[in-house]
Amino acid sequence: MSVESYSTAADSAPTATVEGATVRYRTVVALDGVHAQFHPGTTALLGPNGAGKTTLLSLLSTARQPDQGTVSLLGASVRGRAGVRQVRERIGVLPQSFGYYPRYTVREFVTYAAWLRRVPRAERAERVREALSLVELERYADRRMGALSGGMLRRAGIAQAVVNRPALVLLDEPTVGLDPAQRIGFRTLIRALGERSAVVMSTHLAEDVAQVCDRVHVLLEGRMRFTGTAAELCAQADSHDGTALDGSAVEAGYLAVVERNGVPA
Amino acid sequence: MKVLLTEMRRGEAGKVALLSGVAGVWYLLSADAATSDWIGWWNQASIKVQVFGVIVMGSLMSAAAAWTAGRARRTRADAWSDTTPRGGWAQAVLLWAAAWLWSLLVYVAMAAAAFQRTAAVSEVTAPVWSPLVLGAAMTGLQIAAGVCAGTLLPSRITAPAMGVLWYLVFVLFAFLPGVSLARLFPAIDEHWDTTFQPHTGRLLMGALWCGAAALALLALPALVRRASLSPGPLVAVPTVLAVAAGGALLTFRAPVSEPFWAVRAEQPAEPACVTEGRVRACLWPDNRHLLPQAREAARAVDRAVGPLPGFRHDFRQTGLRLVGPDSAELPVYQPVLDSGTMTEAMLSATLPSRPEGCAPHVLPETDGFPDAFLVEAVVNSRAKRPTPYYGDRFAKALERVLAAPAADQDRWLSTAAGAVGACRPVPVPPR
Repeated sequence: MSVESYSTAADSAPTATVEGATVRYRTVVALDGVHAQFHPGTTALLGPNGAGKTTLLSLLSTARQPDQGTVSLLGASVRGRAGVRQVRERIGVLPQSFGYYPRYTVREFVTYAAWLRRVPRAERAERVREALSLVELERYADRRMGALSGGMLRRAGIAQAVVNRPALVLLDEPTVGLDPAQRIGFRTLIRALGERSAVVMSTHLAEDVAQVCDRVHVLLEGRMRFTGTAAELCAQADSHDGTALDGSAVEAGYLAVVERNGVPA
Repeated sequence: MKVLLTEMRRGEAGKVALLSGVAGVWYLLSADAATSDWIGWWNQASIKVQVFGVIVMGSLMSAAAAWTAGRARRTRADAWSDTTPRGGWAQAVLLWAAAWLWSLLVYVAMAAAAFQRTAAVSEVTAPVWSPLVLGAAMTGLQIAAGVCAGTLLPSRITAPAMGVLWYLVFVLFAFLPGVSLARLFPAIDEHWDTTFQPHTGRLLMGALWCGAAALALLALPALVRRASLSPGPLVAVPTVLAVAAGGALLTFRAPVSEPFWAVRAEQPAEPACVTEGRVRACLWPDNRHLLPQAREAARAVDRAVGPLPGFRHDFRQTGLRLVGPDSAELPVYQPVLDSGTMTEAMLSATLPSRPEGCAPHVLPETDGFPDAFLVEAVVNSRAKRPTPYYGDRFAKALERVLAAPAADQDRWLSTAAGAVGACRPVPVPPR
């Protein structure tokens, strides 16, 4: 598998920046003045259900605008239709519950996604081949989406998200519902993606963070409570021996952050 | 293009279109030419396809489009498709185009079936396109409404509700023929015989309205749903066109009792005429195929009343200009007629009509029936056509006239015909 970077901006610059973002759903504050930066590589958004992970991803995907604060994507503040459109051409999204059209074949579905993501017509077939190759679904390209297993569907979901060679890939709990073998394969895939793009992955699986992510943001009750590397998160736990970087260590570090902030885990 | 073809292949619209197409083609091919009111007339063939296309296929396709459009929300694919740079308008246009192209293919098949049947009867080749264009555009508007409703209300009942709603709209406007708003939802269910021709300007204006309104309507879901990219300024083009064309349709005025979508055809330079003895019959050129029947009918009329003054010997199909007091209007209600029906129509027309306001005179000999009935019965008998039974006394009176010497009978008929035309009582029948 050749590794090619999809990012064009200087890799040191953040791919996405969120400054003081607040989002309210009627009386519920989903995000409360969140600041965060997302760089090339894989970043985990860790937090319990209802912490605001999906809402933050929806800001990054431009699906919604913050009620307060700003979101800058790919070096530009997202303003106006043209700005949104331009940014969206370089974003890939895989939502938690991946919706697909069962009657389409995998190739047709990814081609449809390429059309939606405005991949130029002349390049579309090649990009679809490339995306299917990345997720190792070439052999199943002519199989109906409705006939795929859960793991293959998730791979097809990744293929639709990266068919436009995005600089920013947003994955909402991508490993939920996968069996252990599928999860291991999927983590490898996400790591490979992180070498090409800035990948932001929401999860509440500590093992995902330990295996895949370069950086971690911990969101609790709509507020950003921790930002750092996976190793730095592990070090938050008093019991950490300073070397272990596995699911248990991440979980311990995460629980320490939760406890410190007085939030029920 | 590839994406469009995929959507056509995988979407539900194709199946519904094919189902409608099978029903439509069967409906058109199974019609009996002998009793049909359209096989043989290009206008009517076009109207039939248009009205079936809009009321049946359009309603079904609108339902299919609503179902397909609700797919993104039902499958939750909108969670990612709404974050793509291809806006909601483009996505709606794709679904619409896929369904509409299917309906156009089926529409062409139905038009081919209808035109093939008409060509087998008619002796002129003059396919009428403009009602078909309006029907195709209206189907597009119906499908757009389905896409719009299905996207905004992706419930399982939206699709059947759309189908029923369209049907009810057409039924409602059928009961309210004078309502101008009906022009914005055209389903022309009228009888245009050869005296009419399509009002091409209005029909094309209607098609423009439907097409522009469809495109504007497709932008609505993207305006309402916040996540998907909103339509660009280009949406103003179909919106302005729809407002202009729709406004024009509402502003146009048609003369009372005249159809909105058709006009009276101009007098032909050379009507199709036949002459037998003293009788001449002229038809619209489009009815040239009826000339053999007209000739036979003219022969029968000539046999019955040819030499008799007072009767009319020149017959002009409805809509053709009459050429004098001896000229009578010949109604032709369907494109295929046998010579017997044509003869009856001509015999009815040969006796002058009573002037307006003239009360019928009653003969005591006919048991109280109007005197003109007896004259008609005598004429029919002389032409060897059946006469209605009005009772024994009437039959006796008829027998008595028919038994009279030929010269007396002729004299009585001529005088009687003149009397009917002049609103005078018919003389006592010869004994």
